[in-house]
Amino acid sequence: MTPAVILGVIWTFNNFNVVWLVSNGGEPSDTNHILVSWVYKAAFTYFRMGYAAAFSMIIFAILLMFSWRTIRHTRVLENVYSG
Amino acid sequence: MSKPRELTLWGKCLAYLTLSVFTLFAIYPVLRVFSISLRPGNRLLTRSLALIPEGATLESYRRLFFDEPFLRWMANSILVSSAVTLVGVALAATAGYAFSRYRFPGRNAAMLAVITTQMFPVTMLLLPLFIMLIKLHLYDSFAGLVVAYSATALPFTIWQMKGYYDTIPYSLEEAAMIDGAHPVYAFYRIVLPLALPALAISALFSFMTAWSEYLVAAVLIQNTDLFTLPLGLKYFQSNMEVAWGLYSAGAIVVSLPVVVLFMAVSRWLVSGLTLGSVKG
Repeated sequence: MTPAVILGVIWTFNNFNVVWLVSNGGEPSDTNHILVSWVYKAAFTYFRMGYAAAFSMIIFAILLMFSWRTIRHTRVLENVYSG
Repeated sequence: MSKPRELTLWGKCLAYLTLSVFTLFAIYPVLRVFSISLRPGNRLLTRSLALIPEGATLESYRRLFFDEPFLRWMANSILVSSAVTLVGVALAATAGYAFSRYRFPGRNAAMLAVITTQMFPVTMLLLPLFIMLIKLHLYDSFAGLVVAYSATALPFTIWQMKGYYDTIPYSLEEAAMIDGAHPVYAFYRIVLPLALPALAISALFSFMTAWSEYLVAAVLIQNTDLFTLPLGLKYFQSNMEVAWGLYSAGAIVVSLPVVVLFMAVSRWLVSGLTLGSVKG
């Protein structure tokens, strides 16, 4: 279950399509963004590639922190036979 | 397994009411699309709420199958999805086994690295992926799609397989190996057949990932002959006009196989997802 939960959270956090389509690209004037849709707009509408890449790294750090804590907490990585 | 708790009458009413509301929310758009696909001509908006519109016709479906290269796109989609399923299941079955049974330096780091790949926004990964596949001469080809989709599906399937293997006692393989079986043989003939439900889930997941993906395909495929179904659907939507009838008929036809496949294995899917969760 834990991998499903972790990946589910990651996928929802990074769910671009729904937000993009519902808000028509963050309208009105970029007030309806989540992190991922803002990255897309910054990169491919405003062409601020470096900024968007840096933003992606922050998203990555947030998700990595969450996953790391969940994995440590549930001890899902431990081998059944290693104990 | 503990017995499920009985709900009170009020609880039941509340549960069904909530479920009905959410089901309605989920199902109404689909019915709407179905209704548009039956309308004659190219009509998107109407004030009528009728499910079967006035002058309902299957003309859109006929045009879809006979006038448009829809069957070709479907064959492409089936080919790509099947290849992704094969690659995904083969790699996930073996990788998951290694993660479950062996202790080696960097094991935990590797397990974490596998899901790390999912944490970057896909939109930012498109550009590097594009450059990489061009350099590998896989641009505008099925091979490129298969590589990209397998990479997307693998993290989940590897973890899934690893979790399931954890529930299979190691003594089974030990017994086989005491009788002289090679570790590969023990894996192939003892463990793999037991892991069949997990394999089925991995296969279904890989298939669905490849079947409905649009973004990566839109970047990688330019040739109309190589279009997969989601690309084909978008093809009906040009700048000036959208062929709404064809579009919605196509959407219905595209989603049908996945729905049928999902219903066929959904019981397995739910139990399988939690079966591998002894440690969770």
